Amino acid sequence: MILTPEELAAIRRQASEEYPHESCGVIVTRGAERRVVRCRNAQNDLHASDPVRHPRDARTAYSIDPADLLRIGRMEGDGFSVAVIYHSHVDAGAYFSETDRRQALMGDEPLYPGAVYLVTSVMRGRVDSVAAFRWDAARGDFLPVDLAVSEPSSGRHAT
Amino acid sequence: MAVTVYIPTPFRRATNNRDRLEASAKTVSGLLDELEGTFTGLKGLVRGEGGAVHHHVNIYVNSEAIESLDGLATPLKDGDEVAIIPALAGGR
Repeated sequence: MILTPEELAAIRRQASEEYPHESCGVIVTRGAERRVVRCRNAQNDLHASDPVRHPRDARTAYSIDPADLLRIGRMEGDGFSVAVIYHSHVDAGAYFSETDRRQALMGDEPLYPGAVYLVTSVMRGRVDSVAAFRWDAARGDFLPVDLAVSEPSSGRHAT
Repeated sequence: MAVTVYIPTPFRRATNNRDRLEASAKTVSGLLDELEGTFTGLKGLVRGEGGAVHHHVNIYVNSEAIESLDGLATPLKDGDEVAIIPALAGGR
């Protein structure tokens, strides 16, 4: 199981609420314990402070707020693992973009090799689809995986 | 007593999978020197050849980002907690 129906619903709701900005967050797990960590997209701050270095704003990019990164790091220190890293695409499909791929790698290795990346497509404020991707070490790339949500739907894309 | 350094998942491949390290350096820059001296795999992961921290890496001392302190010159004292955390980012 990648995520529960309740977690999927929360992620979809956040994506709609934050439209027209990209939403972001993670799911951390510790044994059977699971927590959705809703994060702030700090991309507008980066863009405002240095638009040359950060040409995109939060409509087309996300960067998890450093305060949230530290919070996640502290949770990892308490035994949690990052199981899912999620964000939304605004008025664009639920694909793993080249930007997503580049930012998920450190050199040729994934930052979080065991994590599933979840992308939610929000079209005109409404969630259109959700897709999941995981690092495939043999292929050296992120490949689509089934969301495996028990309900209300299953399959590679949940709508 | 010493400085405690939190190492998140992405950097643990370079620290023999250890998530917490101890160091005795007196500045953040010295701390990175010390860590890279012990765990050579860290070289290049946190900062570039010029010595500047990669833009996608955030360093905190007691929950304060070093950009809001004295950067790499930020002093450290016994009992301080340092975290070195890479950015999570992307976009369509």
